[in-house]
Formats: sequence, C-alpha cells, structure tokens
Amino acid sequence: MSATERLAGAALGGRRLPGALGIAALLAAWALAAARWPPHVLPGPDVVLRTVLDERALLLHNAARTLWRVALGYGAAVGIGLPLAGLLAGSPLADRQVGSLLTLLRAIPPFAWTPILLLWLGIGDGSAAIIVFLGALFPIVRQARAGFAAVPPALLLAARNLGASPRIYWIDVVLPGAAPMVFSGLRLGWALAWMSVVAAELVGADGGLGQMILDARNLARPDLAIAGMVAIGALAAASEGLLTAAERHTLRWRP
Amino acid sequence: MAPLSPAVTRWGLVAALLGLWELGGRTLVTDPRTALFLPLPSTIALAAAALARDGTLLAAIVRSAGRVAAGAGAAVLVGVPVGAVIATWPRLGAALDAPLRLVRPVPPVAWVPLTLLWFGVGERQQLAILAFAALLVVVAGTTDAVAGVPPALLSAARNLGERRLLLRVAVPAALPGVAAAVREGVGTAWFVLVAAEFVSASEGLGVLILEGRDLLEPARTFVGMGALAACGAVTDLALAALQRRWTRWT
Amino acid sequence: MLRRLSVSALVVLATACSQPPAPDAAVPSRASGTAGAAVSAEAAPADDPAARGWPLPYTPVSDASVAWLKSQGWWPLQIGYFADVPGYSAHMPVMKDLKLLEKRGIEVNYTSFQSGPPILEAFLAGQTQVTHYGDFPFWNTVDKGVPAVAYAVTGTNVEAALLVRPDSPLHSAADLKNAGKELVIGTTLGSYCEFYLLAMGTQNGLAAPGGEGASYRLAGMSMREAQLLPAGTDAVAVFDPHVTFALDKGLGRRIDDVYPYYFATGYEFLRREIHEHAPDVAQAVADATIEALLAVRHDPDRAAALYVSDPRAKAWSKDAARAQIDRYVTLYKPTYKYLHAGFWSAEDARVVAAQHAAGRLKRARDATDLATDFAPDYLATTFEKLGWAVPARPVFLPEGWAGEVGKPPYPPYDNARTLTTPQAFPAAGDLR
Repeated sequence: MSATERLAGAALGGRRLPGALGIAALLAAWALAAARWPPHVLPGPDVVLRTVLDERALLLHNAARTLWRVALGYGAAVGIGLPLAGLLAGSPLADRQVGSLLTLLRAIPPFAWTPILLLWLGIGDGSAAIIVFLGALFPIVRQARAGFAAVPPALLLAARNLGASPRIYWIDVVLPGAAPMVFSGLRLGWALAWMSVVAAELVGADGGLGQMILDARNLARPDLAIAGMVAIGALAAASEGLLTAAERHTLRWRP
Repeated sequence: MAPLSPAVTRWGLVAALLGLWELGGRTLVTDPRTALFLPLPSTIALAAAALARDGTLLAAIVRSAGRVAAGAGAAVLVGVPVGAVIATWPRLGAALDAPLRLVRPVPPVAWVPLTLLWFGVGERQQLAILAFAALLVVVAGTTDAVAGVPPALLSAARNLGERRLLLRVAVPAALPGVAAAVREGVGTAWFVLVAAEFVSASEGLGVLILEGRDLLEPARTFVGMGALAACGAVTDLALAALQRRWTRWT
Repeated sequence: MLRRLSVSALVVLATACSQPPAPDAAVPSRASGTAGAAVSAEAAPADDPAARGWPLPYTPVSDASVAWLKSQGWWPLQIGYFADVPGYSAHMPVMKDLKLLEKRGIEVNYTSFQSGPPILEAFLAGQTQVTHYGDFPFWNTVDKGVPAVAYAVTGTNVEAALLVRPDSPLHSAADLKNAGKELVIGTTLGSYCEFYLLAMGTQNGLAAPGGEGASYRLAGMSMREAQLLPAGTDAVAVFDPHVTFALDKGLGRRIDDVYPYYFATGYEFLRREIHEHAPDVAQAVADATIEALLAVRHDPDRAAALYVSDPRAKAWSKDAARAQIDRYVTLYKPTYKYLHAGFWSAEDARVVAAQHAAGRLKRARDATDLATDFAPDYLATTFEKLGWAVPARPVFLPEGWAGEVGKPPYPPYDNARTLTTPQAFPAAGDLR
C-alpha cells in the first residue's frame, strides 16, 4: 500500500465512524423526541419503518407517478434547454433577447406557478411536469451556455478550418469541451426538479408522493407523511447518484 | 442602418410577447370565462396599481421579505460556523455532516407538513422551514469555501508562527465562497418562501398569489409573482454586489 | 472538544423538544380577565346582553378550575375555529369580539384556521383545547387517542354537493355508474364530503373506491382547489360555502347533494379532561356559545362584517358571509345547537363503520359507545337558564317526519333548500 492509500484509508476510517455516530445521534434525538409525543403527533423511527414496510405498495405506486412527472419535465428541460443554450452561446442577439426573457422568468420560483397552472391545466401530470420543467430549465441553460462559451475558440476555429462536418463539430469538439459544465447544470437541474415536483404535488395533484404526504396530513397520519419523505429522499439521492456516476463515466477521459 | 438601441435588443422580445398577449386576448378570445382564468397584461397592470394604492402590495412585500431575512439570517448564524467546523475538524465534521447529507435530498418543502405539526400554524413555522432550507445550502457552501482555502496558504501562515495570522489568512480566503453560500441561502429562502406561505401564512407575497386563485382574480396572482420575482432579483443583486466587494479586498 | 460540543448539542435538542408547540397569535386576541371575583354586568358601553336575550349576571368559573387549567398549561385557554365556514363558525368572531368568555372569568386565545388539516393538527397536538370540525374528523381524533367530548352541534345541514363542470355529460348521481370509465372526484380526504360520497354511492349502487370495478376514485385536494372544478376531475364533492362559490361564479353545476343520504354535521368539542376536572369551564364555553349565537341572530349584519374582517376569511365578501349565516345559522331555531346523543350516535355509527372498514379507524364502535363521547347536558343547563325547552329531536325534522335516522334515503326535512322563511322561535313547545 502506498503512503497515499494508507493516508486515504486512515482518513476514511477516521471519518466513517464519526459519520455513523452523527447519524446515530440524529436517530436517537428523533426517538427521544418521539417518546415525548404521542404517535399521532410525532411517530418514532420504528413506527415509520413499519409504515414504510406496510405501505410499500402505496409508496411504490406514488413514487412511480412522481418519477414520471419528474422525467417528463426534466426531459423537456434537457431537450429544450441544451439546444437553447447552444443558440444563446452562438448568437449574441439571441443571447440578449432570450436571455432577458429567461432572467425574468427565472426569478419566479416555479412553485409560484401552481395556482395559475391549477386554473389552466387542472390536476393532471401536466401541471406538475411544467413546474418541474420550469425548475430544471434555468440551471441547465445557464450552465450549458457557460460550458459552450468556455470551449476554447481556437479549437472551434481549427475544427471549422479542417472542414469538420456539423456532426463532428458538435459531438466531438463542442460537447466534450462543454461537458463538465453541462453536467453541472444537469445535476443542479435534477435537484431543482425534485424540489419542484414535491412542491407542485403538495398543492394538489393526482397521486404522487407529494400528494400522498398531503393526504397523510388530512388523515392525521404523520407516520405516512414521514414515510413519504423518506421515499422522496431515497429516490432523489439514488437518482443523483446515478447522474453522478453517468457524469464520471462520460468524463472519464479527463485526467 | 443605425444600430438598434440596447434597450430594444435586450427587451424587444419580451415587449413583443406582451404585446401579442394583450392583442390576442382582446381579439381572439370570446369566452368570458377565460378572463376568469387568464388576465391580460393590462388587467394585471391595473391590479398592480390598485394593490399598490391600498397598501396591500407593500404590506405583502414587507412581510415576505421579513420572513426571508429572519430565516436566512438564522441559517447564516448557525450554518456558517457549522460549515466551518465541518471543513476544519475532520472527525467532528464528519459527525455533523453525515446526518445533514442524509437529510439533504429531501426537498425542504416536504418538511412543511411536519413543521406544521410541531410548530403549529404561524410565524414560527414559517421561520423554521425557511431557516432549515437555507441552512442546508449555507452549510454546504461554507464547507466548500473553507475546505477550498489553499493548504499552502495555511501552512505558510502557520510556519510564520502567527496563530492570529492564520485567522487573518483563512477568513479572507474563504470569504468569497462564504458570501456565495449566503447568497445561495437567501435565494433558497425566497424559493421556499412561496411554499411556506401557501400553507400557513395570512399575509405575504405567497398569500397574494394564492388569493388570486381563491378569489378567482388571477391578475392578483400575477402581481404577486411579479413582485416575488422582483424582490428575489433585488436581494440577489444586492448580495452579488456585496460578494464582489468582499472578493475584491482579499 | 467533540464531547463538549455533542453534549451541548444534545442539551439544546432536549430543551427544544421539551417546549410544547404553542399556536401562533397570527390572529391574536389576547384578552385579560379576572377570575374568581363575581363578574358583574360591566359590559362595554355598546354591549347590552339583555338586547340579545342573555340573562345577567354572568357566572364566573371557580378559582379551582382556573388553577387546574393553569396546571395543565392551558391558560389562556386556546380555542380554534374555522375562518372560512360561516355555517359552522359565524358565532366565534362574535364570541371573541364581545369577550364572552373573559366575562365569565376565563382568559382565552382564539386562532382561526382555513378549512383543512391545520385545525385538526392543532387539536391533536394539544395546541388547542376547544375547537370544532366535522363528524368524520372528530371520530378520527378520538380514535387516535386524544380524549374529547362534544358539547354542541356546529352547523346544521351545511350542504355538501356533487358538482360537475357546465359541459359535463353527468346529470345525476346515477350517471356515475354508467360513465363507462373510472371517474375522478376531487374532495378533501377525511372530510365529511368523503363520507357523503360513500353514502351516495351505497344508495346508487356504486362500488366503493379502491375496490373491484369502482365507479370513481378520489383525488385529494383542499376545498379551495376543489371549488374551482379543476381539469383532471370529472366531479368534485365540496361543502358550503364552496358550493355557493362555484355555482355563483358559473364554474359548475350541482347534480346531487347530501340531504337524502346523510345528516352531515360537525361537533363543537373540548378536551375531555376539562369535562372531568373543570366542568364549570365547559359550562361557561357552552353558555358563551349560545350567547354568541343569540348575538348573531340579533345582528347578523355585524356578525358577517366581523367574520370577513379575519385575514384568513378574505375570500368571502360580507354579503357572501351574510348569505351563509342566513342559510345555516339564523334559518333554524337557536336550539338547533343541541346535541341529541341518540340521534347523532345512530347516524354516525354508519360513518364510523365505514371508516373502520376502510382502515382509517382502529376501533370498531357502535352507537351506544359513540354516545359516550357526547356531553349534551351542558347545553341543557344553558337552555334551562334561558327558559328554553330542550327539543325532543333535532329542530330540522318536521312534525311527523317519516324517516328513521341511520336508514337512508331520508324523506324531506327542513333545510336551506326546503325552507323559505326562518323557523319561528319561540313557537309552541319551544319554551319550558
């Protein structure tokens, strides 16, 4: 084992135990607080665990609906956002005009659109997906645009002078150069997409984890609400992990 | 041809869209019920004037801004030290960081029902959810900022034997990152404010937005959204200017 | 260093956990009151209890009760009520404004809630000790182990209705069966609208939601959303004043209402401990309730104005609030508030059985058992003070009503749709 590896091992070992202790402390504090309150006010970790197991069908069903909405909105944000970023990076006029519009729209928290969207579109997947789209679009566009703009102009000139086809130009020259920032935007957009979908569903949607948490409130089932939160957290974390792994795999050619 | 004035090149598209909206609304739409759901820009402007005149708009802005300030303030007071600790002491830092990292993927909005259970409906609950949301962001940003201080800088200061110098070196080096974290925290607070107010406030911009739906006066909703955007932008610009100042003298 | 920090962190956490959450004074009404000494008729210059028919002097609560309330941390007493259901709570802002409980020696703090979970959560968490909401959530509350007794009925025959958009192909409840697909009905879960749908479904041969071949499924949402009849729903089930809102704005039309299937009501209730340890406090609350009701009858316009002065009631104009008061409060004899234990336990036995079957309630309870959570004697005492006779049965059942409670469909009875003028009071037999 090299000195670096030994150091790394020691550092990890040095951090893992306190990390576990920290989580244990959190769970202990939760259990302590729950002991002072009746289960219909604050259920303890054991109650929540049992609820998660008992209601896993419901949780899975709602998780699927939420994931679908996130996928719809996020997919649209990527599908529209990346080309849009390319346009903004390429054309100063478009950058100013569309950029101003985006700046205005970006300032409105996506969640603020829910009442209007409920009026216009009702409770279907559309409203939630649009909120997700609005949440994810701006970070994706902003980071991707910065990424595209950051590709060294010399490289672009060289590619053009060498007669690169549009396909090679975009896929082999521009994208790899812009990739790190694009990914950063994709990750940020994903996090915001999750925040947005939960917020949208909490107000009124047809099914979904946020809706389930809302219903749990109406029925005075905080254990179900917490179970829903656990599910959301787990899904968000898992999907973020997948995204990071995809990023590492794609960028593995970088030193 | 003379070059177009910068204002046109910047805002031409926005103005054109607004014009289309107004014209289209006046000419193409025949169902009177549509007005109940989609107001024209002119209607929105009139509503904004009315709300400004009777003081509702200002009161809403003051309330919401106050909540954001209080929540973000609390988050900064707690979050910056915690973030610094996490970056400086590895073991204690890991102990503090692990539960935060566990909780972070859950969107702050999902906590709203629980905070209602614990704090009841009211200002404490609003503060709790805003502070919590901002806290997670501030801690993460501060940790990165402090951890990003070049070790060479620190060891150089240490070698020179001055412990005070350590502070005088580390703090300015981390400050830009911390400023960025604070800015993000405030932005997050504005982001979450709407959700918080939707659920349990009786006055504020989020309430204004919701009222537009409840009263079927969507112009009011748009006024609220516009004011919210403006407030968020103004605070962000102010903090950005502050951040630039801090970055400059380090 | 690590140990010191963790210890202090735990101490902070423990301290935080030991504070019981308190309701916020977002709609504050702190009133000072002196307990113990006999409170004479020192009404505010404009206030004249005699004008509304309340006999002075006020009976103050005992020092022992005050001390007991303080020992529970229930001083001032926290009262919750709906800000946006005038049919239930028109008398509450009046009670607050006239300081009717303070005049009886009780220090009180009022909190208004928009309809929805918060008022339920507040009582469950012990933040309020006196409150009201529908029968469905009341039984849920008791089942969860929070001890409560109901002393009065909130509003009588507050309409719950099934609304559809103007262009909907549905025209009656029976149409739900033949729609050919699973319909989506928006309503607030846990509200009595949910049971209305079940009762309506049973009468019309619909399969219950979630079961085989269900005709409909529920989309949970707040009343404020449901009243907009949002796209994505085929129908909504809402209670008044949301019914009136939707109809007045032309958002939908009514195809069915609750009256033939279910006597929906709400209960005014308080913590059972107060009933057991400080019954004079419960009596004072019951007295103040009826006195406030008399004040509403005496000046409904002022009651409406007070009602909409609450920021949480902003959605309702004074005229709309007044209309609701006319439909549900002043339409009936004031004795409508009396809680007929036999009647309501028989009706609610159906609700409880359905909730239990759906897994919402842990315990199965029959009518006799349910009646143990009722405390109608407080109002009986109040009526005695006023010289009113306790009505033999609910005032909205006309003479010779042929139906039997608990067995729908119900023959017509007095409600806002069948009565053209308010019930006469006092009529023959109303007074002792």
